[in-house]
Amino acid sequence: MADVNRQWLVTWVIALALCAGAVMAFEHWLRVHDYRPTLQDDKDLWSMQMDRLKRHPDAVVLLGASRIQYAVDPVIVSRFAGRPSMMLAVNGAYPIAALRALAEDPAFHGVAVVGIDSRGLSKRHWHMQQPWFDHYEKRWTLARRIHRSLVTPLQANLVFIRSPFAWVQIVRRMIAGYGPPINDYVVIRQDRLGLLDYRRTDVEAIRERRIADLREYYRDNRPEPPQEWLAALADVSAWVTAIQARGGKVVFFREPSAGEHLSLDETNYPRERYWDVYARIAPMPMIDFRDEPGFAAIPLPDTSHIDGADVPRFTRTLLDVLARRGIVLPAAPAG
Amino acid sequence: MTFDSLTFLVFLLCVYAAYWAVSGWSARKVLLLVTSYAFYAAWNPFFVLLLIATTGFDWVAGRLIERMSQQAPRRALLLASIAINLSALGFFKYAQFFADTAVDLARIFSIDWKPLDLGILLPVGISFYTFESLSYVIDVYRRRIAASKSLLDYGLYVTFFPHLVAGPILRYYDFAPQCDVEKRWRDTALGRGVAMFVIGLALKLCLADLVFGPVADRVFMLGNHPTVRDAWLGATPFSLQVYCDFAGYSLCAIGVALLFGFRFPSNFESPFGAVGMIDLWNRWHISLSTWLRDYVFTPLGHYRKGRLRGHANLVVTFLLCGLWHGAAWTFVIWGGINGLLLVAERIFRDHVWDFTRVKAVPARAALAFVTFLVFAVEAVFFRASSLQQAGDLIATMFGGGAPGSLPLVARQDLDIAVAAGIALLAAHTLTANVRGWTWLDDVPVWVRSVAVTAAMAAVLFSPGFNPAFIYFQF
Repeated sequence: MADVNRQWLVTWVIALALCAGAVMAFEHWLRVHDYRPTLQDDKDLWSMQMDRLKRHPDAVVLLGASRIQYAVDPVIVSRFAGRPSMMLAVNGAYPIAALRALAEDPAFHGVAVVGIDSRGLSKRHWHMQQPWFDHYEKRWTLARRIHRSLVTPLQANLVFIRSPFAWVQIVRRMIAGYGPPINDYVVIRQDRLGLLDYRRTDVEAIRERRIADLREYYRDNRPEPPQEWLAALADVSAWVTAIQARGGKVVFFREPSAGEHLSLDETNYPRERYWDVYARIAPMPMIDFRDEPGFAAIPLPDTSHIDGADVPRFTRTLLDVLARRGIVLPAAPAG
Repeated sequence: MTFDSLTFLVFLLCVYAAYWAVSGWSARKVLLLVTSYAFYAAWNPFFVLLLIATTGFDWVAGRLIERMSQQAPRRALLLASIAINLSALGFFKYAQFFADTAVDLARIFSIDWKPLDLGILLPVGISFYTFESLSYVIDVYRRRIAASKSLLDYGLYVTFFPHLVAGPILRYYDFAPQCDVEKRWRDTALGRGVAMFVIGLALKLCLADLVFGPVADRVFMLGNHPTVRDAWLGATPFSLQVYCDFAGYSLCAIGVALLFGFRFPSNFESPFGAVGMIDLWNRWHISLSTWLRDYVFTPLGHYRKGRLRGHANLVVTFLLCGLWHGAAWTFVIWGGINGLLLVAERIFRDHVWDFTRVKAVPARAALAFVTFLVFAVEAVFFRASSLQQAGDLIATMFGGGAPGSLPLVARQDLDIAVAAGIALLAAHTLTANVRGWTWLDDVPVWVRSVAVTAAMAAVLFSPGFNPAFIYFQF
């Protein structure tokens, strides 16, 4: 057995050396080609933020989709409000399921800043974030917590440790003629804030893609009549009221959009027939970015998202608005 | 805590270091038992109590059965143990299935019962440790083995973490002697154990999750209407996916056990090199198929009571095999089809042509491929979320796709899956006569180094989203 183990030792020394060399070479190649490390935003990373919320039920919670996740810095919010803030927005998913979950959590009595528009309020989109809460309830175990805690520093420091760089994905792209992996222009922080860097991408192409997608969406999904849309929102109002009854606050914020994106939204969900009608009867304040001039100065390169460099400015503008309306008040100065 | 998580890596390193640092064999076994409970608690701490309760009950039952000389009370105690074990399994795994079936049956008679959501959580690994407990008590009753005098040894048999949640299903007569002998670090097959663990991870992370899984998922996604090509190329990757997933897990388990000086039985032996379904089932999930043979098929009478009765016994055994895999009619039908195929093969070989006697390598390879295709087609029932979906897919495979169906699986996904599938099938065909993994010790260092490096690189360069092991749900 001793001889066999000695031979195996040689085997493992060779294997480890070769693999270490391969990892270093691949990582070097990726960095030379300007790829950057970033966290992979998954349900486990999201669940880490939910854990924080469970520990701080009076926190300022940021709900929404990419336009919140890539625009509002929880660190700045936390400093301003003097209490923790966590990012629960999910790229590509409207947040009404999250609002419902907070309403059904008897402990939550913080502030929910909900980034949403009239399309997102449509009942057909309410379920979109439910899988994240299901994951938290059913699959978020101690083992997953430890795993995610160990993976996070690795992903923060190594490029190759994310799924787009799996060898199978690379081969797949080569066969399809797509070239090397896409050089992602978003960096996800540990608190799940995403910082977009439009210098690293073809803004024009992204803008065209987004508009094409939106056109296709509205072609396939005609808006429901305003009365039907509004009637369904009675449930949403009830969830908001439940949070308010516990001392919590809720605000709906229609994030900035511009150009054809805004035109398409307005054509399909005209503000005066949808958003404004609900705003008049809703139990919480509803802020449309067009009513707050501060947002107009912040560019939207792809018509609906801001550059990472503008995140602090955007966050402070939003906080000014929320403070003015008494929703998130600045923390009292120490001493 | 799954084998492919960093949590498990840290856990394993800690337990390994502590195990070899602790002096005294009993202390080491206590350490393994306690850490195994911790391993299980990482999923759901409350179910540890269930595990402890069933372990304790079966150990006491075994001791009492051994001591009793009169048949009636022995039998009563055996039945009580079986009933308690199966009740726990039945409640946690099948209560929802029975409730849903009752609602469906009522609907046939125009009784509109509201579907019940019992909200029962399935304790991970319950199907595996229940079968281990049952085999122990039955073997003690048959006086095939002596009842365990040590609750520690018996607890370790049921709970030892490498096999706790997805097997291989151990037998006490294999495991108990290993508990008697103190392990010495220098005697353990450390190098081979780590290699098996890494190869298992490569099968799971690289082939199951990244190569075969995405193709199968696309074809089986509800609402998709596959073409004939997709239906065939979706069903076959699923069989390869489930093999890589479960054989990968089993390899990891066997490898980890070796690190602690324990030897587990092999669970897969090149199943896609099998010629005929009987041969395949002798190579696929071996610890389950031998369990079913010993504790279901043999007690039913095997083929001792005539061929017709034997055929019926085989079908019944495989119906139970299907039900063991999942609480759904799709699994039951999958089991039934397997049983019928085995019966058909026996009849065919007895009366028409015993193809297993073919010696020519190309002919055997062709037969192995046909066997694989048969297995892949019936595996549609294993993967489908409903009988309707399974029926639709089978109809598409043999009758053509729906008009206007567009290809679901991208060319590049298919190319990779087909290439990897051919490589895997060829490897199984070439190694059909190789048993176990001890051969890894005998090959030249450079060959082993290439194999281990390739497996390790496959793991390192396959970061993904950590989908759960398929067999955890069973």
